[in-house]
This record gives sequence, structure tokens and C-alpha cells, in this order.
Amino acid sequence: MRLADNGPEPLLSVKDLHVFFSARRKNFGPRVDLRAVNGISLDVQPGDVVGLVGESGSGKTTAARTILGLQQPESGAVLFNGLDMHALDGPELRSLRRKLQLVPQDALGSLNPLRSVRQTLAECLKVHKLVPETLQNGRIAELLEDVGLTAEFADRYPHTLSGGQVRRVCIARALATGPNLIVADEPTAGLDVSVQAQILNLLKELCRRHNLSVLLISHDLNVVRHLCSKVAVMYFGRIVEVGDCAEVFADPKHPYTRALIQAAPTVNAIYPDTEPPSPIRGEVPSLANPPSGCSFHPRCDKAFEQCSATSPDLIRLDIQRSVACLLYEGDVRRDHAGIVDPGANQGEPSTL
Amino acid sequence: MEVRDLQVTFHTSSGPVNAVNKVDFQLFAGEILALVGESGSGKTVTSLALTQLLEENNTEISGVVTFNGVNLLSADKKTLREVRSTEIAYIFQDPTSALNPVRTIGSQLKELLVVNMGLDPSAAHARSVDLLQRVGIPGPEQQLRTYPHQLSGGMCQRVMIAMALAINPRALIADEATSALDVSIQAQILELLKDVVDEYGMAVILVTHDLGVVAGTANRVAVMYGGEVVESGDVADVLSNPQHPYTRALIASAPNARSDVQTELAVIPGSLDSRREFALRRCQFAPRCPEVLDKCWSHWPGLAEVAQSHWAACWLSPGHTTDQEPSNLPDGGTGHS
Repeated sequence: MRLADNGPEPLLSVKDLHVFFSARRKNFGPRVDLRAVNGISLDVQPGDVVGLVGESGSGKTTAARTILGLQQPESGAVLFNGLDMHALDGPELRSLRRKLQLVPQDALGSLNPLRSVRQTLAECLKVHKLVPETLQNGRIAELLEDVGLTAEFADRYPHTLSGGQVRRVCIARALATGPNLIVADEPTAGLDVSVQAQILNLLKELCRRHNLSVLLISHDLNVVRHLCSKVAVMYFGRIVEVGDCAEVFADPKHPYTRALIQAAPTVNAIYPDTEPPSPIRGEVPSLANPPSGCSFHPRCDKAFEQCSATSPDLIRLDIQRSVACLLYEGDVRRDHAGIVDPGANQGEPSTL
Repeated sequence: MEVRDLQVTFHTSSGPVNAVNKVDFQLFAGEILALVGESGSGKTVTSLALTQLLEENNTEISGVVTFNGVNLLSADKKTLREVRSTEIAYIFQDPTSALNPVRTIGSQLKELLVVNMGLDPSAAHARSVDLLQRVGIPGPEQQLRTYPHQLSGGMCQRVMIAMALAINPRALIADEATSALDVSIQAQILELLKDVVDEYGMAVILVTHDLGVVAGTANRVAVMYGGEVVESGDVADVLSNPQHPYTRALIASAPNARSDVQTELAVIPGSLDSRREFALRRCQFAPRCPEVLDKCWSHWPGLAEVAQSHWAACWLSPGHTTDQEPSNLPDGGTGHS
């Protein structure tokens, strides 16, 4: 199950990653595996901004933690610059981590309340031995200016900062080690739209200035559409659709992607030509009791008999787009090829 | 319901803070009115002040909230209790903390029906099953025996809506009722809310920060900034033809399906000033406004009608004339009552 691997060597390559948590369904009961991430593959090219979207419980944060090496996978590999994240340890792992940084979801909670911004940023620089102590303050001022704050913020404590400023400090901390890839987990959750706009603009600007790649985890489709070049939609531990961001939003293939886009509230709802939202019925199923076949079939309005029996693989529709849905399986089988002529899947797929 | 001149002041250790100032609006049966604004704009305080749910010790509320011919702000405790338990229902942002964690959904719902509606226990049980069915909870008989932690956020919010419907209220106040939910569940809950408004003909105040939710759900909208209503009117009018610079900025800063992904999002410079100086009677948005005039610093424009059923509080909007000698009368809110 390889995804679009055209072009240069990917910066980050996730290969068939499985992450299981073991839990007991009842006290003293047998342990069962909860398949939080169930075989995802994803490539991030240098300079790419990849969005990972899905509802809560879809496994996006677990996937991110595993990519960062904070969680051991059951199977599969995370290759960063060709090195296997989970096979390394000691100094090698440390030098790899320098290039791979996190902007956590709970920004305020991730900062030590007893440490000033300077102490927080200095620790990063010290641990990774990045600058000599005499140059430390200069580097901190530089980092703060990079994220749109002034050097005076160095002596502030987290509780005196606003929500937007806390996010900026977290972004500065991520930038401190000079990373190639930033994993941003819901970087704008809980912010007002005007502050969210500032943070999104900042991320966009930093990508350009530092040639960063970003893996953006979000449940907000509008944010992803605005910032990302590529998007992967996750549902129940699997990627159900991946492709070029603009194309996926213009023409979603998987019924889940389509439903998710339609469910997102938008200011455009006042215009009569906007499609009315059609809520997806039901909820994300429990990991302890996964549905048979395609995990989306109980909520899917296009589901047919086979959907409850067969779990679809991610198949390539064209050079950019892959989708895991039985509706498109026919296209591929008929052509007996991994890559279908994009013309072959025009029209209403359910009639094929 | 009619709100006139609502003003809320908190007396804090560092002096009085005006949280809400001169808020006027009307609410009609069968409509959804959205109060929209960023954090700190006073929308939640407004919604809580309507039935005096704010801490009494350090809060001063003035103005008139007429509901069914009664002024709720001067009503005695007994009347308030009556109104809160049978006329106006609230739904809060976090459903899991609004429900009692150590009692089943059923016992909480039935208590409400027995105490407030005077039903006997077996009728209350039957009605509870009805209500849960109405809000789309599968297997209501079994769900009555579950505890809040066994339900998902969306299900808990449905239970909250069922509890709100249980008293058959004339007004429902939903404070960020869908903010904590996934988009798919949010869409379900908003649909449900629209359905019950159609079915029961109640009036809803939807407090939210999300203009997308406003556009898809509400009939009328009041945009709040710095404790004041800066623009109000029909949703389609306000969102398609915003008259106040703040409303325009708010719309432009939200990424949406039609915005150009290549361009930067519009940013509102500065931040909301929490220490409000209403005594100055200036426009609260003046320090951040791109089109600020000298006059904005010294005189509050007040809401004026800019088009039919569309009001804005900005010196640049059609209802105001920039050269007119401003009136410094205490009733700054002209034309909107």
C-alpha cells in the first residue's frame, strides 16, 4: 500500500503503521487490542504542508505521537530522512528529534507555569547544545521575533500571555532546534477566529521562510483547506482518502470526506446556491467493538451489501488521489492496473 | 422577550468592570437569535444576566428584561424560580459537566419532570422515553439507566436538549452548545435544534463564536464587541452586507470554502481591551478599527437603522452622519428598541 511517491525522496515516510492499545473490556476480563491506528501510510515531501483530518477518535493524534516517537507502534515504520524513528536510540535519536518538532494541542498546558518564556526556550537550546551560553539570549530574542513577539516576552510567564501568544511561544520552542518538520496538533483549537487567522498566517509565513514541512492535525476543514497542500482524511484509524488539498475539497471521492465537508458550518450558508448541510448519521464507533467490513459502512449513505463484509484498501485513482472505498474498487479491477486513467472514474461511481 | 438597556458591572478587587453595556434586543417566538462575538465580548454574561444567573455579591445588573410582561431583573426569587424552571431553559457548552455524574440520565430527567412539571413517576418515565426518542437517542429505555460518563459528548448534549424540552419552555438559551463537538455531531445537534424550534415554536438564543453556525442556523444575529451590540439584523443581511468594520473583519478572518487559499487571512490588529471605559462613551472597537475617525474616540455612535431590520453602531454606516453634532444623551442607542 504505497502512496504517491513521485518526486524526490520524502522527508517523512510512514509505512503501514499500526498502533494498538491493550485494554480490558471489563475488570479481570481478557485483554483486547484497541486498534487506534490501523495501517496508515503517508509521505511528506520537503516543503509540503500536509493536513490530517478526522473526527475525535479517528486516531490522528495517536498517529502524530507515533510519528514523533512518543508512542511505540505495533508494526510498521516511520522513516524520517530515510532513518527509522523507532529503531534508533541515544544520540542518534536525539539528533533526529531536533529535526522533528511538535506544537502541542494544549499549548498552555505544555509550558511549565513556573518558568519564564526565556527559561523554557533556553532549555531547548541547552539540551540540544545548539548555541553557546553567551549567545543564548540573542537567539531567544531572534526566535521570539520570528514568531511575531518582541524580545520583552522572554521574561513573561505563561499565565500572563494570551491564548494567541502562548501558541506563538510554542511555535518558537518548536523552531528553536531548527527542525525540518513540525507536527502541529490542532494549533488553533480554542482560539477566536481573529487570533486563529494570525496563527495560520504565521505558520504559512514560517513554512516559506524556513522551508519547513508541516503535518497539520485538525478537525477544522476550513483551516486545513486554507493552509495545506495535501490532505489525508482519517476515519477509525485508517486513511480513507488522500490527495491534493484543493482537489479533495473540490471533488471529494470518499463518502466520509464528502459528508465531513458538507457538515462543516460555513458563512456561505446564507447564499442560496450553497448545498444545505447533510449531517452524517450516528457516531464514530467504539474501538472496543469495531464494525465489520468498512468501518464507515454503518454511517454511510452509499453503503451496499459488500461494505459490511469487505474492508477496502486504499487504492490509487490517479497520480494524486487515493481512496479506500468499495465504490471505486471496480474502476481499478476493470483496468487491472494500480493507476487508473483519470477519465475512467468520471460520472456517478455508484452506477459502476 | 425584550431586553432594553442591559448593563452588567462586576465589582472586582481592581475596580468595577463593565462587562455588558447598553444591550437592546428583542426575541420572538419561533426564531433563533444568535449572539456572536469573540471571547470577552460579553455574550455569555448577557445570556446569564437575562435570568439573573450571575453571582449576586459583586454584580450589578441594570436595565429591563421583559418576558411575558414581567421584568425579570426586578422579579422576586419565587417568580425567577418559576421562570427558570418552566419558561426559560439553558443548554451549556460542556454537557458532561452540566449533568450529575453519579446519577443516571433517567433519574435526572425524571426528577425534572416530577418536580417542575408535577408528573407522577410512571408518567415521568413514559415522558422521559418520549423525550429521548425525540432528540434521536437510540434505545431510550436502556439509555435512561446509563450514567453521563457512558455517553459520548454528542449524546450528552442530546440529553441536555431533552431536559430543556422537558419543561416545554418558551425560550431556550444555548450557550456555545455545539462548540465542544465534532463537525458531524455539531451538524446533527444544530439540525435537531432547528427541528424542535419548528415543532415547539419556542424562541432560541444561540450564543456562539462561529459565524458558520450562525449562517446555517439562526434567523437573526446580534454581533457583540466589548460588551456592546455593534450590529444586528437578519442573518443574510448582516453577513452578506456587513456595515460595522468589526463584523467585516470577523467574516474576513475566518477561513471558509470560498476564501482564496493563496491570500493571507485578514487579521484584526490588537486585542480586546478588557478594562473598558464606558464612561468615555467612545466606540469600543476604535483602537483596532482600520477606518477609525476622530469622532470614534469621543462619541459612541449608538445603533441606528442602516436598512430595513438591520442596525449598526458605526459612524460610517448609512444611518449615521459623520458631520452631525453627536448627541451625548444617555440613550445612545437610538432607533433600536
